[in-house]
Amino acid sequence: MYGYQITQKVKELSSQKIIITEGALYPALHKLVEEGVLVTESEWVGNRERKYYLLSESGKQTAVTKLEEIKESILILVQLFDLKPLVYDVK
Amino acid sequence: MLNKLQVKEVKRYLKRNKIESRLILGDFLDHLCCMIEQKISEGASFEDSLQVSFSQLPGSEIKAIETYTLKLLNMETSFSSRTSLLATIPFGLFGVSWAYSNLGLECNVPQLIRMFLFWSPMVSMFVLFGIGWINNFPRWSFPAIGFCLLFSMYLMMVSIPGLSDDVLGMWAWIPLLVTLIISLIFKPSIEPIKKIIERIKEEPALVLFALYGVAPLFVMIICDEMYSRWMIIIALISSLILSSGLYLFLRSDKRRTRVLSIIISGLLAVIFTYTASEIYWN
Repeated sequence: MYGYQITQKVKELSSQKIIITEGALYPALHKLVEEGVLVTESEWVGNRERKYYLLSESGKQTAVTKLEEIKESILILVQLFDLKPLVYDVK
Repeated sequence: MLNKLQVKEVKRYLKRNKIESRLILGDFLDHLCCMIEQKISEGASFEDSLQVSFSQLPGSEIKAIETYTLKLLNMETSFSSRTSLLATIPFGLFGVSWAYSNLGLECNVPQLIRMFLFWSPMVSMFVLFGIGWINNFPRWSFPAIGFCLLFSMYLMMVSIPGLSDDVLGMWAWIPLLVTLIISLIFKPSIEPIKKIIERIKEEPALVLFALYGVAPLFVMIICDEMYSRWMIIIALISSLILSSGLYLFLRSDKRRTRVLSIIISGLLAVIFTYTASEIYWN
């Protein structure tokens, strides 16, 4: 996905509740490229170049691990705050 | 889809706001174009969409994002006053050493201090090179790269009378080789070399900045064999001019100012020193 597309996708998936600012998005993308988690591919769209950010082979594994860590953190928060399943168990 | 002229208009906006990094420029050109296209698809005119998008993403904010991203990637273009001042230390040492050489023979200075004054400028450049290697060669270490390479090349043609009558040849590279070995102990990786290439690709003027590292030695050579108390003032002023150029290069976040600062100070120092030497010999 390209930068603008990522901001729109997150907005759409979170029902407009999570807005990723450009100041949070682009530094993070560039850092992840530097770390080898992401790779970029460019293509010309009309009169400008568009850069797509993709998960690298090692990045795919990192993403799985990070998702697991996030899930664990959410479960800890659920236990800590004694949340009812209704709050977090959204299908 | 925006046409060529409309894309140029957006690019002009980014350039006007001093966005210099290739990485950030490309990202935000596409990002702003997408924002404008979105608004046009909702029925707004290009001019209105442009104004709204620019107000939603002001140039100052993009510049701040650029600065932050480059800092995160250890590719800063401008540094704090403290870092910039610290980077001028080797240039200052050259100035002191040069000034001392104009009166050193006449005054009673302990041998240890004499040795320090003679060797400290050169040693400090090699130390800066080593520190630069360990830190993936940030911009402040570029003068050390230029100095160490050119100084070693210069030494190849020099002979040391007490040592041998022949020129040093390949032996001249020993100091740099030792520095490299020590640096590799601390950072055994070729990452620093990759970073040099990356940084030069991002801003080719860094080659000029690396060459600037040899400027203090160059102006010293102009005044070789000249011994006068007046030359002490020339040495100090000349070194101050060169240090100011280095300081401004590291402080400025505008490419044009950076390049101009080293070109102007380099030329000024050479003209000033050359004029002084002409007056001396006449």
